[in-house]
Amino acid sequence: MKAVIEFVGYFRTKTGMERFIYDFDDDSATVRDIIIEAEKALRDREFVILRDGGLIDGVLVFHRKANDGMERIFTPDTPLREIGNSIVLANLMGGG
Amino acid sequence: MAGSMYDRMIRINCTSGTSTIWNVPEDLKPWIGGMGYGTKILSDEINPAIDALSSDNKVVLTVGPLTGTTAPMHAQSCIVTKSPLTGTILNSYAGGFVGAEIKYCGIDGVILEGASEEWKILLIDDDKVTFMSADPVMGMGTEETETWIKENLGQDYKTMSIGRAGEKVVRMAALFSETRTFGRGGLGAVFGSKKIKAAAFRGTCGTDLADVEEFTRLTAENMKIVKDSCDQEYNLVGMFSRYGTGAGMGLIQSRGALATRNSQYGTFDKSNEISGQYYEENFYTRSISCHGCPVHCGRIHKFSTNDGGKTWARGPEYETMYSLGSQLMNGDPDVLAEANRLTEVYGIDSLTIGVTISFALECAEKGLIEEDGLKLEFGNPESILGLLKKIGEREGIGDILAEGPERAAEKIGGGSGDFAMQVKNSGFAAWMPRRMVGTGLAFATSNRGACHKRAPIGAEITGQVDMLSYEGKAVMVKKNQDVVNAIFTLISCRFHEFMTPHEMYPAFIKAATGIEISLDEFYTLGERIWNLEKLFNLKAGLGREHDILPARCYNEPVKGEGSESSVLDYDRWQEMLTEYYTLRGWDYNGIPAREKLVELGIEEYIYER
Amino acid sequence: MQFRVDPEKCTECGRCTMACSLAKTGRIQPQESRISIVRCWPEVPEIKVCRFEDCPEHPCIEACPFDAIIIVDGKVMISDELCRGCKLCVPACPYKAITMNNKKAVKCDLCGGKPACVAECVTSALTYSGVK
Repeated sequence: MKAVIEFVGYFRTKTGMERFIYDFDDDSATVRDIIIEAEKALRDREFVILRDGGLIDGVLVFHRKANDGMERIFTPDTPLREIGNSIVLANLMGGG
Repeated sequence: MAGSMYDRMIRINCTSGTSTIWNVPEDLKPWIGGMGYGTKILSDEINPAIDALSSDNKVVLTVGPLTGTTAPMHAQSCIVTKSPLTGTILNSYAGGFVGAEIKYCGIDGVILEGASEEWKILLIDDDKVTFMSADPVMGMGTEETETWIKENLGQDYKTMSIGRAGEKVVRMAALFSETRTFGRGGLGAVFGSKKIKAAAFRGTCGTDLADVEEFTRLTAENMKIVKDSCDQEYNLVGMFSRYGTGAGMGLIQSRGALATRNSQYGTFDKSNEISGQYYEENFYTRSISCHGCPVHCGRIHKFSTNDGGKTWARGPEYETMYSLGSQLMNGDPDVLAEANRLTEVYGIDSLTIGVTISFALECAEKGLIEEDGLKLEFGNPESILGLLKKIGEREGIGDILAEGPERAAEKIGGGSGDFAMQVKNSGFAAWMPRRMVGTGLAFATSNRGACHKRAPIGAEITGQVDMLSYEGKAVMVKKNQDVVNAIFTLISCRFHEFMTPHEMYPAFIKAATGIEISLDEFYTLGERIWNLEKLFNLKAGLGREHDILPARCYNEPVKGEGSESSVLDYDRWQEMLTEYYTLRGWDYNGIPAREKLVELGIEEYIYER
Repeated sequence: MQFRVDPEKCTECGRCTMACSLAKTGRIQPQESRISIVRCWPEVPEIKVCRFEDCPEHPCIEACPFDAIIIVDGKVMISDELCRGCKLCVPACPYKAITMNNKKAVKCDLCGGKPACVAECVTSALTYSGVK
């Protein structure tokens, strides 16, 4: 199944791309799985967001809901098929 | 044993042109400093019902126990006064270097009283005050004024000034200090009403610390915490350090929460072009610190003006990327940089003026206003820069708009009040109440109007909590308000608290001053100050009916992709407001109950209708 | 070991100024500091501190009529005993690094080998390390 990471803000600049697409052989792939693939593919951009199996502090993963809002995903073990095979990757926002 | 507070302030009488030393009374010291001192003094010394532009108003400029010390991120000074924009009590802050200099004058602050007949520059050398004629600098922009003072009166002075907007008593005029800004609430207009064009401080007293060894140890520990945060690639403050405060446009845009086109939309298709990264990559950029700060979130940019000239400005900050960017459909980074520069020149709050301009542009679209010789269109640089100047000069339609968005809407009529995006006449900060319910509650209940500094922004925008839920938001808002009030006595930069364990605050206070205060007592101090402010506002004539958002928030769904057509449910919102009042120990009308005031030890300030 | 100053990296936080006066006097007081930062926006700041070997001509030594400015272990230093307070070295220094304090000329003395300012500088605008 095709799964997508949409990069936002800082991650768009860092990776140089708007989205990363990976085709998994089966549909049991999790959020962690697609991140691992992206880290492999983007090693030359020093794209690393996992540490000790979890997300590095400040890295935010969302999925787009049916009504076009976004919901935060806290566990990288979440199966992609449960969230429309697509995640949005952002960093902790600025402002103030 | 000498501590880091001097226990003395200077009362500067602008009417008589004299000054006296005021030894701080014992009952002020438990308020620690900064916002605590300012709120208590103003509550004791002025009638909340006065006209903020009259000579009865006072300006209480203070520093805190950590100002001017090696404790990182404590550069700010605080001004408390009555706001001519909102009619509330106002607390406003600026970073930069004037805070440390005030401390080094051997004082905890100054109190400006009365009003001068002639325009003056105040020179404060340690505890000696000189009133100088401001003739040479009248009409000058803030940077120009302050440069003149340094070149002609002394390079060592640290300065603050108003621009033409303050001179013309524009209600949203700000007070600048070496490009940092006491932005909110119209301080520039208060200085204008007192005919004080500028003030300059030069101190030779340095500062003491009650326990140098312990303070040094705490400082090293805090510096390590800050460094470790900044070293993490994705850490919020680390992002500020590397990219300035504009680092987060991407996330806000993707959450459909970037106020665009007078808050009609939640996304702006040109947000990338006006983001922090864009400026970093495309303009000559240097990082700048405030006093003692290792984060250096400030940025100097060199850029070109519309007429091909070369200039520079510090900023724009994130909030300005919204207020003079997305809110006006302005995706041109040069125009944004120029608009930001003009706010520095005129000395105007970029938030309220951005919202006032976007309000005016929508009025024009609806045929409610027009201006001879000036097109009024969203996204049109001529409209944006033209209106900015007219407001700064109080010219033409600018004279009405200079009163602030709410007052302007009252004059303009035609239902325009529905889309004046303000609370108590203070323009919205960069967040959308329809998209972030808790933040909207913070806007409405802020004692100074539409303030984001005490809003649960991080928790909502990161999805830690559901942005759109009403549950649990009242608790979050109250907690933020109390904590931030407490740290604004020290005076911590807002970003400091994002990284620092709260236990360090009482430890720092003790090492700096010898004062022992528990963490709970510190939080309670914040709550006490919040209540004192609320009592001031009630006595100034503001009630529950003023803790409200404009009708757009309750009636118009946010348009655009990712914004979920969010709108606030009025009844549910009012229930949340009541919940918030109850949590605070206030009645349905937001009046603090006697029991709450007794608990806080401020019963004598009670408001009874 | 060489003391190096790179104004390009300086964000003007002034922690160096505080650290110096704390080290020298136990109080935070800029007037006691041997390093100060002057804002020159939009250009890089002027950093008033001795450049040691990066100022090879040492015009201060030439300017002193009492031979109170000397080289100690390869580093130019002002001798407090020999200084008579004539102030002639002050304008001679191209970095404005010398000030008068209690009627004597003072400048950075590298804190005896562990410069306090370097320890505070988070951007490495100030460094003290082996020569490149």
